[in-house]
Amino acid sequence: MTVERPRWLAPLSLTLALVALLVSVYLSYEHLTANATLACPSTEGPGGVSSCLTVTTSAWSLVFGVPVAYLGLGFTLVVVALCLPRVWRMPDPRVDVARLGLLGAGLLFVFYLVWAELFRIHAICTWCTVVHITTFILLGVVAVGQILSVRRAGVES
Amino acid sequence: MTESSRDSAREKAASLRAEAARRDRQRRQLVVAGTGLVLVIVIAVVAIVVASRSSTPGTQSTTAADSAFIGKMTTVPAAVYDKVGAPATASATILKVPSGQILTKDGKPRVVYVGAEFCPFCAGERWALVGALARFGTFTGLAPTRSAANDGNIPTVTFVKSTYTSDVIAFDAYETQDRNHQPLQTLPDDITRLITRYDAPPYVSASSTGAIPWTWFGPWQTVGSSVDLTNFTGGGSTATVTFDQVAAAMQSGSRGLGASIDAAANVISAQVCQLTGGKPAQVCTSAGVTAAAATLPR
Repeated sequence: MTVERPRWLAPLSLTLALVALLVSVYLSYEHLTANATLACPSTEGPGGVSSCLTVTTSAWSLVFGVPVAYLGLGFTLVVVALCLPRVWRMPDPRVDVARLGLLGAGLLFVFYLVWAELFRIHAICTWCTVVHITTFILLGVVAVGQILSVRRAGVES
Repeated sequence: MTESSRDSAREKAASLRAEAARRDRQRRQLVVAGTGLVLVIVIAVVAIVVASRSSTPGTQSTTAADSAFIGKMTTVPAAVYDKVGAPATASATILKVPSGQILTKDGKPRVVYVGAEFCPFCAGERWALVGALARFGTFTGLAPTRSAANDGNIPTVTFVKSTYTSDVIAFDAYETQDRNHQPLQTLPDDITRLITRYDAPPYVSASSTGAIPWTWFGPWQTVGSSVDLTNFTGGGSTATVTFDQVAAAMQSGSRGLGASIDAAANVISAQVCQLTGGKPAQVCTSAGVTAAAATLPR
């Protein structure tokens, strides 16, 4: 069994996953250092609020006692692993299901976090938003890429 | 045509049909995926629009839903105040003013508050002040806000557009700066003279000169917040509680946040009762207020 993927799928998905991973590493570092060097524009006024500090130190920055920053780091690490070219070449359909399922679960968690930001914390964390948007785009890229993939019976040459 | 060439043609036709079916399946899946992705974008846009129309820190515009917590902070049951009683230790922020004059307005004793929207201690104090004064009269126009984002981000209400009516007490509040430290309300001359004289040595330490929040009762002035801010921040640098959570804590008088605010409100009520001559009796003779009165500096 072989699987033919769109040529753009592996490099594009890996790039997006690495972007999310880099931002997650930064947010985790900030959490470790008590947000000492958090570089985030803090703008307030009608129409919106951007304040990473408000979000990353809020009650919603922990889920069951685990910092959301660390959850994000773990999530993006696994996503990077699943988007490596070598893994994309794996014909096992369970890998595709796992990748799509993980990103789908990630998007649901993003929904929860955005809801908390908009309606509970009343502040937006710019860096977190980068991860949220990247996760969404990545899910779209992976979904389309997997749909366009073709599995063929035979021995891989 | 030979048998083998017929087989080959059949295989080719089957292959073409399979390929067509695959493309058809892909097309359907792409439509479903595309619809899902568009739906996510639409949901996100709607959520952002709804959120931007509702209360955002730094603005005074609010919807009824956003302000729902205000109704809770002004209607804490008397039984809860009585149960909480006095603070465990008398507040060091309440200072006796031996020569302090009781201000009046419209024939009623007058309480004056001076604070600023950026100030986290003002944010904490307003919960108790509003809770207490709501037992003597009615607030309108209170609006949600927070202390400065880089200064606790404490959820609270602002007095800027509020009015207060009561049969027994007058209340004037001045927020001198907004969340971004921009000038907001100007103090009238008489209040400026009062705060310049009393919010300064020898009444307060030199380092606390001009400190806010400053609340003037006449016999007493409160310089600083009598509400412990660590209950809002969990010991951290920024608030970990929401408007609703603070209001709910007040309503229940729960240990920590709720008890801290309610006990401070009882002390404020006790001070107001001194000015009103014990009116209204159901407030001034209540267990919580009488217990708190015993902690006031004499």
